[in-house]
Amino acid sequence: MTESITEKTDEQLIKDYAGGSHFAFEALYKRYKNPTYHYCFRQVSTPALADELHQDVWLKVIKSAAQFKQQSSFKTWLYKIAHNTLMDYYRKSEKRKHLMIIQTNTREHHDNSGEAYSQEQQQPDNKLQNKQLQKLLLNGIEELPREQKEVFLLHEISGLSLHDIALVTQSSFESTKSRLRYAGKKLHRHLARHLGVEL
Amino acid sequence: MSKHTKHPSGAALEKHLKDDTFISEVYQDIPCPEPSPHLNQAIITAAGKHNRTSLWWRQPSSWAATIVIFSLVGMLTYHTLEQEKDTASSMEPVYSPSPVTAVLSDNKSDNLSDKSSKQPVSQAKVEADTKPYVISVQEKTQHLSQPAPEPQAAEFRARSAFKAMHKNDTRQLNFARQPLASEESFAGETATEQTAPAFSPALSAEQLLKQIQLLIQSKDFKQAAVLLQQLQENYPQHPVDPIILKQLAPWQRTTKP
Repeated sequence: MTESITEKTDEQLIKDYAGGSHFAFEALYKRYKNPTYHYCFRQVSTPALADELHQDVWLKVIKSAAQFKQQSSFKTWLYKIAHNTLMDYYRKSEKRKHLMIIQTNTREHHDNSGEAYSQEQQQPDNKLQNKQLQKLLLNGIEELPREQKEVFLLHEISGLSLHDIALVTQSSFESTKSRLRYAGKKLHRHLARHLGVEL
Repeated sequence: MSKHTKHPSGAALEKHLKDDTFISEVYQDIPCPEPSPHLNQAIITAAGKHNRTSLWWRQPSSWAATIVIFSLVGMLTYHTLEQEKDTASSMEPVYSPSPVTAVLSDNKSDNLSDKSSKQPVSQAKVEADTKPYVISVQEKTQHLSQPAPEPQAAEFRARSAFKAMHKNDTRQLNFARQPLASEESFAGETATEQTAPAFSPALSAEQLLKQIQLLIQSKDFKQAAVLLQQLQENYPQHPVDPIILKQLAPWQRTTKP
């Protein structure tokens, strides 16, 4: 039973869950709990909010499982729900508050990364540790405009194609492509600036 | 996902920063945040709860829907059948075996038995012989069930029956199936059977002339001559087609008393 469930596709599992199989949902949740949480966490950057959004996303999946029409893949459908949940959150939450959170987080990250970088610079071998580079990258992601950040995260976390990302974000393929390109450029520039490298 | 990959530094980093995959590689090495087990449990419990709830209401509702659909279909079928029955009963012609037709039938059979060589005729043979005439008479008289002057309709029916009888020697007619045969028509029928058809004097000259033409078409010159005689007697001023006069001249001579 367990083996057959793990072998099943996402679409078959959601169909089974709609038909009453609780194990199917468990298997599906096991597959996607980390990516969806990751996506929510990177968008809001606070664990409490990420928990809330993650729970909202999955409750919506539970409620609308019977409405899944298999017109797109389950993954696309799931990330679409996550995207809509985030959009609702942005709309509901006070813009100022959200901006404050972002600015605070960014400042903290900046401070930490700067400190880390300066510490790193003082090291005799002058080598950057992976951890510090990752922190710098995360700071750069935080500073990205929301649309670019979303496209970048979807590209990195979900493994969706550009076409599917365009479907999830309800934007055109071309704008999705250009958002991803701009996000990459900005992150490159960000890293270069903080590492003192000229591109 | 390659965990904790050593990334280049210095000049090599500069080179790698120009590479598109570098950002992606760095990002993939970042440890993924994971939801807490408590959150996982809450979501899975919610899923199970929702499933049980939905299954609880889904089954009775599907039953209810099935029952409603079946009852609706049944009601519709019953209603349609009732309507069809009503329509059929309203469309069915009413055959009233009046005493006149009964007497006529008896008389007819007596006459026929007299005229024929007193041979018993089986019911099947009678029906087989008379079937085409019954159908033709029905067809001819069908339009008479529509609102029409009653004397004319009755006369036409009686006349049609007479013509059919006259054409065939067997003279087996289902008079019981003749609707609306009246006393007058019966009287006319019996009279014309022996001598010539007696028509109502209320007939106009045009009508008589039309009937004469019909009789000529059916080559019933004898009766046509009788009618022509009536026409000439009742309407002496009415012009008659010379062709008809010429056609019926020999018959008029024979029918004249």
